[in-house]
Amino acid sequence: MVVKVDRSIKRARLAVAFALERLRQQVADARSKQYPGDHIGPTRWLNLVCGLIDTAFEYLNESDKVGISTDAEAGLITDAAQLATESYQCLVLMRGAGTDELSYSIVTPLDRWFSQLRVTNATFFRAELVANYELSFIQDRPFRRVRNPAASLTEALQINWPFLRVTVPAKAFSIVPHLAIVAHEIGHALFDKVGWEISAFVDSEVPILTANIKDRLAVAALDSSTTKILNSVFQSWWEEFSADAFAFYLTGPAIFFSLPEFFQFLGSGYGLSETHPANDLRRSALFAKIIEGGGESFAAIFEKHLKQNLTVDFNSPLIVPTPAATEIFKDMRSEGHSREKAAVLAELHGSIDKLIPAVYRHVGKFLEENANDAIYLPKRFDQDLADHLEPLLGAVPPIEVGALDQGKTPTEFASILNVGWAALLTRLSDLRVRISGPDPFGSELAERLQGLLSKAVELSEARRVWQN
Amino acid sequence: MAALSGVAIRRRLTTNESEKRLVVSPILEPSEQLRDDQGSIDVRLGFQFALMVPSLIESVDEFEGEQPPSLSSLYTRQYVPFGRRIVVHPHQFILAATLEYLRLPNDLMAYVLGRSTWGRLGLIVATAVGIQPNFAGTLTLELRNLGEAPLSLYPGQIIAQLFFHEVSGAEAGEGLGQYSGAVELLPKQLSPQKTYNRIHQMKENLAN
Repeated sequence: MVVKVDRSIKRARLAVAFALERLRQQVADARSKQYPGDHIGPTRWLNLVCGLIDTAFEYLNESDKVGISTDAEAGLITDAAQLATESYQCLVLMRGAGTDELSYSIVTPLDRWFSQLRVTNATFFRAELVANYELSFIQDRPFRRVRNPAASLTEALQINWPFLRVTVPAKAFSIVPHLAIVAHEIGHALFDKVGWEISAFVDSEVPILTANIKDRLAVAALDSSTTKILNSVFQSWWEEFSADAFAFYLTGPAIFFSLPEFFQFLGSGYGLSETHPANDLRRSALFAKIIEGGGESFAAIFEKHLKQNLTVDFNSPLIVPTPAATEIFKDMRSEGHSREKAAVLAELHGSIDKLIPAVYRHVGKFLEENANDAIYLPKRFDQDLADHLEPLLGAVPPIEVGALDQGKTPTEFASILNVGWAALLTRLSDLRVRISGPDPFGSELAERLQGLLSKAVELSEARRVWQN
Repeated sequence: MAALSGVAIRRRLTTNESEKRLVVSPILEPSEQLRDDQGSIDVRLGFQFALMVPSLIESVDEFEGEQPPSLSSLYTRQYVPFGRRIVVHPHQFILAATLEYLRLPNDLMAYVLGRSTWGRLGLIVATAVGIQPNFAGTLTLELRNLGEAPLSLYPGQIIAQLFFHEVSGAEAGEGLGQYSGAVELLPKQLSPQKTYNRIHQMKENLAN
């Protein structure tokens, strides 16, 4: 068949059709790829992309109908081109979702956290070649605004929105124990579901906070723009502490080891910004929970099994302490922030710690009421270390527990993370695996431990699937 | 060097003495995989496979070039989950991991053998059959279909059996041995370093 192109508008239509055909091919390639855990998320996302492409083709068909005005024809082709661009952007959003970047076994336990916490949003996981953990909320509004959607697009939209995209670091940065940080990201998805009651903080602390900001700015009253900044920063920091609290309840000490070590790795100063509270404050909040309960605390159990005293900077001595408010103000100004924003950041840092106990309390209550089984308790930590630590040091991954003939049960993901951290931080040199030569920093042993923990994740999931 | 009976294998799997303990994990169906009246334990096909891509190279020659070649570049990897299959075509050769993770104490060694049911279909399961004391890791099976028909293999299928032998002269529990082996499916290099260096040098000498 010969396609006859004899008008410039036809050439424009051809260009768009060509691009759409290329996209369709790319979607077909993406569909044939393997996704970790055979997770449904990537397929749902690709259905959406297909829907956009189908809609664009329908626009092109419409533009080619006999009797259509030139303006209408041009408009439809332009709209189709725009949908092609959006389709491509959607494909870019899921780059790194395949098993070439993300190991097959890792997604299933992470996804289980979502289902345990009844997060029913459509979700996909993807890996990025940077040290980054992130939860993105992709809203449906732009897709629902598409005029005359194809049936495939309408169908693809029938999912629970917003679509969640979980980003974890790929390959080199992907260390099994650090995956506790994904529990923090899940916490972001649940912030709005917690029944917050923070009037005590608002009544007692906000007047002091606003007075401090006024003093800092030497003004009699806060203007609306400063109040807006304060509200925005406060909301972000509150949400971060909430996400930390979720991670604490889901993973126990593992998040206390993961998050500060990750901050340290990023080397982002003292970490305070419009979106995130200071690193040492977050670490202190986690540590307070780790030592809570005295002799029955996580810290006490850690000490019992590992004969080491857990301190706030146990594996994160390089975290930069946050300076006093005046210094923060100066630093923020030198980073280019306005006086108002610098004042908010400096003064809020001194007040927000009064909110933290309430944040952890509310998150704990929410989990007790909605996903009690998902909470990682000191008793569990005690049992995990008793069951798995010595075997792990003897090259046995923490795959399962129980007696051979009474039926074994798969080890929970949070247990694997915690036993992994205990071995990594306190007993690595006792890991009885053969290595190739001198290992002055323990890096080869750590790599071998990573292999054992990855195997534990894979085979504990295998047992779970087999039993179910 | 005595072979272990089914009862003895069970005893080794459940002993509290960590230096004597044999680890095979997970044993998904103990009643099928481990029977007291047999002298072996059945192992299953795992999820990781590697298929050779011979067309990309002239030959496997570890002495070609200045450095030993990366053998992993000869393979493409495939992860096949439960419920999916991989087809081994007639005369095809693939590597496959066992599902079970294995750790042998220093006074036991093992042999891995194919099951006769597979053998009768033409499937050879393992060529490097000996497993040394103190091995820890998943086993890599070398599968070759010598039959006439393609064979569909599913992770979780029982594929091979392990026979255990006590190693005479081993001082069980003396010190704590270092475990070797790995969870990696693909080979790293063919010759140990000293052997590699000697043969490489001899080849260089002849070339000069």
